[in-house]
Amino acid sequence: MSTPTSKELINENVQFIQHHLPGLDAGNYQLIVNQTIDKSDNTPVKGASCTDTKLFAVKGDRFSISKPSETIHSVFPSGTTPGDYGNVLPQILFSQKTFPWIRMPNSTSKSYSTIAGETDPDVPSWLWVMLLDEDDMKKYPSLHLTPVKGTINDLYPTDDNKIYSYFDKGVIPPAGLDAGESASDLIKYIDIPQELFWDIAPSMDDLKLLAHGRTVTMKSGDSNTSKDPDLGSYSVVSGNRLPGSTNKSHVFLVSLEGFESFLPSSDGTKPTSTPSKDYPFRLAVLKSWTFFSSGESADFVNLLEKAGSKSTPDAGKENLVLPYSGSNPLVSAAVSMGYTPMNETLRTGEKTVSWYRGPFAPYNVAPKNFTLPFASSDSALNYDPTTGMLDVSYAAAWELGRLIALQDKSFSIDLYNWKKGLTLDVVNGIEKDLIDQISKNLLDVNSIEYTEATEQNSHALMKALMNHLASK
Amino acid sequence: MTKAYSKRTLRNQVKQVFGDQEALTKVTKTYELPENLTSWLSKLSILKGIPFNYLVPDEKMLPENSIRFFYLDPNWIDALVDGAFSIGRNLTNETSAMDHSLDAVLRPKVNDSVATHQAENYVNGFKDPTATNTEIVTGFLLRSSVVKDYPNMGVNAYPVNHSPSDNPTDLQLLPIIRYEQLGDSDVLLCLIQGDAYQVDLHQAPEVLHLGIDSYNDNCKVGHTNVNAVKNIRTFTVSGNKVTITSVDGVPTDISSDFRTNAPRVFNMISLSKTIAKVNNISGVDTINSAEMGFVMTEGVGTVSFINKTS
Repeated sequence: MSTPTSKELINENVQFIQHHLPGLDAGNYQLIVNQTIDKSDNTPVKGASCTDTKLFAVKGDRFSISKPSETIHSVFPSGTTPGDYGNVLPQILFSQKTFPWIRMPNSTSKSYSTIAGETDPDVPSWLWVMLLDEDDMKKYPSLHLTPVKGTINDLYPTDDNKIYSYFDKGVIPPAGLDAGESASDLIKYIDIPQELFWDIAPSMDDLKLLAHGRTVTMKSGDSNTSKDPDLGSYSVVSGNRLPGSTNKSHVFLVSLEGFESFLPSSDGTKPTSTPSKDYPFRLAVLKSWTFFSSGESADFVNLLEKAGSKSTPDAGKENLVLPYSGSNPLVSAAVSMGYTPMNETLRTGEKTVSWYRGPFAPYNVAPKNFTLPFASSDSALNYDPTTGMLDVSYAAAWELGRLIALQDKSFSIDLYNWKKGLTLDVVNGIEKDLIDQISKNLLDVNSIEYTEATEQNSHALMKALMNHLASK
Repeated sequence: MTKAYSKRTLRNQVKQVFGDQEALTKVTKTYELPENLTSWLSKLSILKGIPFNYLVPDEKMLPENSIRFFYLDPNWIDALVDGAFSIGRNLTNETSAMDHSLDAVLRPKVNDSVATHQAENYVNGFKDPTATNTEIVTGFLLRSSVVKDYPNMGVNAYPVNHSPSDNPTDLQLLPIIRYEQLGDSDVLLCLIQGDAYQVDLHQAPEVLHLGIDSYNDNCKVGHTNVNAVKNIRTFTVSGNKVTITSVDGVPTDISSDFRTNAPRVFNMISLSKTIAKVNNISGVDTINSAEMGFVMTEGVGTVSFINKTS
């Protein structure tokens, strides 16, 4: 039986945050440093002032994602299993938590870093999770649901390239490009007819509400294997359109950087000044995937309940044992203790059947407190005189440990060296004590601290020896 | 003249010390297993790198779509770690051999440092001194397609008398020692410190998704047929603090929060006004992106497995 405990999970483990703004927006920067030195009467020292100017750029992905595995954590619905996704807004979860805000959809350049205050206003994201399906293609025959491979150059409108995009017509590359970008960089893009775009594209205000940050704390032992319980900040960009209930949905993560003047209002009406020509909008596709929404629910809870026992209502708890339906009481007892019969070839060439159980037992096994170390795997064998069978479990474990250790050279060599060094240290220590004791006895002195044969030590030794001889 | 010191003297002395457990323990007292070796052995002791057929010798023990619980056999782990630690020692049945006696003295140190190391590396960084049965390790193997489809699902394990099913007011969480998908398979292995009574598997909190409760499927709010419904969670805001007043939410008709020219596309501003209205937020009529995320998030699926026998 499932017990939805979302209450607890949401209250305790997930924090919702408006946004994670970057410290510096992507772009080119100039750093100017001035230095003047004043005398005690506050007049500057002549010739001592200097100025230095440094240029630097903050790079940020723009038309493609350079390191997808470090930027994107996951997408939902992932597309691996069809399910009832008709009520779900597709979303992308970013592990690079500032990503949805590193650029802006605003036409005029503003900087998020200038936004300050205790309660921040929402800021629009430059990213849009666009959902299209085959119905859109029927309505707009010019629409293609596969992103086109091209270069940044294709985003520049020209007389031949009849589009509207991030750059104004007449601008020629490399104008408009950031540091590190080149017009020949490979990207993917998609062309969206204007009417369709205005129907489904978010408004500037919508964009503010479609992205947020989340911090997941690991209090209850969750997925993140990070040791730091505070690590787990993500950001989410969600779509604004529900999937059709029985359609294949195509989802695209597109950039709306600088698109403010093209965006519709929240109720889907066209912007006041529409572009003069009926050219499509060309959008850079940073990520695309598809998922299939079937009426059938293939969700987490259903799948897991299948894994539980069907006979007990509470899914029950089942142990790791081999199913056995025979009537042999010996076999049945061993099997219920988690043992598996295994064919074994003995060293003498005989064949026999032995019992093996892995590290997982169906009951709480009492510690045997072995006399360790085992001299060899044979000393870990258990012989049952009543059945004449061997229990090879611990012997197999011992041999396996040895093989795994041997396989990992860095471990086995380090262990060998450590033991060898330790033995040498111990023997040296014994020798030192011995010599110390003998020389003390010989010289009848207690003052010599013989540690090692340094020059100082041998002087002390010599001196004691002289004194000793002189006194005789 | 008798020699005061000879090789034989040393040899005898060495033999004597190595033959005397107590003396040997004394001289090796300050030596600790280096960090890299401890770390390797502690990984081994939670069965990293063990071939699957050593864990589950017969596929029939773990059929498709099954979950199987177990106790970790401490003797098996002892033998495994002992085998790995035997490297650099001549295999002999002569237990008085020098390297054998040295290993015998060092062996308890290995177990101690591995145990300490283990506690520092719990998957969830959870160290509860009150956790019961610290000696026992339990766990489960899950073989199901969810392992592949929900890569980051989470697990909570509770001891008896402290689980949501038998004592929801005094919950205790058991530390998870190991929790991972085995290779690229559909099998998930989980090791738990302590005797688990209830195990909850749930979707990863960070893949919580946004969605509504029903759309265009003859849904109703009260007795009125509507096009779309969302159970809107309610909360109160005072300053920077948000208090949740209803997690399950108030069923609300959101049919008019879509665009008229594109019926599946949300008018987010209209939606945020609806949410604000349900929450009686006065002054401002819209909510911020964090509140939108919270309200629109759909609950996470959780399945509990309860140990009836322990």
